[in-house]
Amino acid sequence: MNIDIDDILADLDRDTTAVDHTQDNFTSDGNTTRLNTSLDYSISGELNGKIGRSSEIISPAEDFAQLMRCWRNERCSPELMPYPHYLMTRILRRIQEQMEHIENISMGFLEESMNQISHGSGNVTGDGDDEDDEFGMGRGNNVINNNNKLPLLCMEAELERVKFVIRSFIRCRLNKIDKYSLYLKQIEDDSMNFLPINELLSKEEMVYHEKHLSILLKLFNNSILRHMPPELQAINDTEGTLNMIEEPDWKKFVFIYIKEVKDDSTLDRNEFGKPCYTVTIEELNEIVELTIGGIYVMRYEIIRQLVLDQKAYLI
Amino acid sequence: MSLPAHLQETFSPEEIQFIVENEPIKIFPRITTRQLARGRVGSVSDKSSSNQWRLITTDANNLNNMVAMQSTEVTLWLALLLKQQNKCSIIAPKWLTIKELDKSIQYEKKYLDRFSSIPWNWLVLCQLLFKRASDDFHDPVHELRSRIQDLREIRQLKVLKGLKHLNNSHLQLDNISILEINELRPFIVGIMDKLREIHSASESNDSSQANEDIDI
Amino acid sequence: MYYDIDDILADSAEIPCKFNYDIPGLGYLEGNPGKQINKNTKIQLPLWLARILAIIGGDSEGADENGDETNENDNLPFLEMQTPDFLSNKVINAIKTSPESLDLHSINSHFIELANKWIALFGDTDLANVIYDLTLARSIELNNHASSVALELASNKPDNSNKDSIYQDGNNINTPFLLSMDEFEKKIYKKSHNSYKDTKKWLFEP
Repeated sequence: MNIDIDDILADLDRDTTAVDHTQDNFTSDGNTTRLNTSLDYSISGELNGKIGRSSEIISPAEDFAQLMRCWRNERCSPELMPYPHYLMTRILRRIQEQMEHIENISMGFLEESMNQISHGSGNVTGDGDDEDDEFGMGRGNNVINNNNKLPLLCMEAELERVKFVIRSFIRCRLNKIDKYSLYLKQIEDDSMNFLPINELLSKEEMVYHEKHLSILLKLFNNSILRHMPPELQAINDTEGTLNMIEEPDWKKFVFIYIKEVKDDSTLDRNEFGKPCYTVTIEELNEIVELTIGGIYVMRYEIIRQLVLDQKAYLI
Repeated sequence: MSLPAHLQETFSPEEIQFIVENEPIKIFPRITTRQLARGRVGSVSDKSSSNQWRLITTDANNLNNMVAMQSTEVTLWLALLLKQQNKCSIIAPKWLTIKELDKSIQYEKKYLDRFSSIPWNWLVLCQLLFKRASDDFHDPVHELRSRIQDLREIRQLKVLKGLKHLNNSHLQLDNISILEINELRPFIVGIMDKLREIHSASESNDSSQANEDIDI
Repeated sequence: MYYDIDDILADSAEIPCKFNYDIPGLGYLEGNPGKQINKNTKIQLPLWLARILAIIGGDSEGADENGDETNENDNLPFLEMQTPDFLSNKVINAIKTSPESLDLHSINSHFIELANKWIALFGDTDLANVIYDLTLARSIELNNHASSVALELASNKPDNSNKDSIYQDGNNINTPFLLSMDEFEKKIYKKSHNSYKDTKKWLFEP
């Protein structure tokens, strides 16, 4: 299957398809609509590479549940989580197909009811409003009297919901990419890291990260650093009393829910025979049992592996 | 355009609502969709598919096989949308009756050190149902509402008492609900992070380390 | 965190210091430019400077130059930091007696952060325990204020003329405790108050 990015863009936001993708989309023109389009573009870009993977096996409902987990983990974790490449590819492809589907249905209604004012007018993407509380639930307040249009209404609302999660997910990641840009640069150069950076970030996030960092460094340099003596120009000194590179706060407290995983060999049993994971807070020399179904406030570093293994969710 | 500061490391209540809206709930449909496709034999083929739900976040099977007044299970946001269109009534969950709520209240009063095991979405769900489906309850809504308020207050008081147990190690908060977590998060995390910093500052002892560095 | 403004501000608090050596050219620190600073001089220096001078110095070369063969000064740093007023016994006792009624902000606007630095500097476990208990005890009080948004919403009157101020919410306008919070406490107060407020708003939205 071959999907043209421009078609996706056209559907996502009709007013801004004229953006030239070869130019620098992240320059400081402050045009949020354009930035948005660029983001949509950036995630859609995945479509070219990794299409056709096992979407028959994994149900859309499972995928969406997984996306919700990724979104919530990302929102609650101090560090940037690994980008879910395949998941995003599948979901973005479904969004694309669904938009075409909705378009077809709306066209059918349009033909059917040329003489009456229809609200299934073909433009199904709404106003592209990027408010944080915009879930697409506000629309369709007027009760529709035509049963045939009910599925359409639901499908449109659903589409807005998925798009909201993806948008919020990506925006959260961009925030961390901004915040930890020097740190990401550092682990990029460090092959010992648990994930190569091009797996931690999506291809498009990589581009964003690199451009953002170079713009930031240029700004630092032009506004102050070049007026300083060379020995004071460093922005990534890690030898001094204070590390100049901001790392995620690995010890930050987070709320977790311990999920039930069947037949997990790393599960212990506590004194009441309940299955649990045993973790150690080394600094305090404390051993803590995390029972299945329990909710805890824990240091992130202690439960990080459980989260990455999807045995615990950040909540 | 990255995430605004007030949404970093937490959620807005509206986002919590969004999360809860993805959970299943039982409804009585007022429409029948099962026969609909067959009933329109002879219509243009792609029009009959337009009467079908095709969804990308949830299984549409139940929606495509609705029979009026036969209970089925759908995602909450769909239930609320159908309700808004007068196409279903929502079946309130079992725990959301006067009888069951009274039991929960009693449990909360009896055990001062733990929460009753009402669902983790209780506060959000009942708020949504009171607002959008109040005519679907068998019990008088104002009585349900006042019990929910009681529950909330008892649990809040418990939380308040528990706060003196904040520490630099960890907390266990079983059966605390999603909205309660989110409401308390900035306070609990903020204080516990600081307690942890104070404790580890006394362990780290910068000065001796720094002295060693100088000796080299 | 490197670019944390509160951390930088806390670092500028002045600490009483006593010099262990005569040091030429440092007289400008006590208003005598060009002169030397004498051994045993007491002077207030910002923490960021005092910290370095309290760690570095006193190497054997320096001692030789001073012709100090008794080794009395050997390995002594340039200066010694002395207990600042904000951590004096008087303050510590006040903390132990009634942490909630203490005016932390007037003692030092970055008290907790600063105390934390002191703890880290000297590995002072006793002080750590005191500050730990102080933070926890006051946090309960802080939470009581942060979570009390009920009246404001129940009356439903938008009479908050000054919404940006953290002291203008509901029934706790200008209570002494809110004015006594240090910068860390204010930050937590703002965050948690907003969270309580947003939740309540959502719950009682018509």
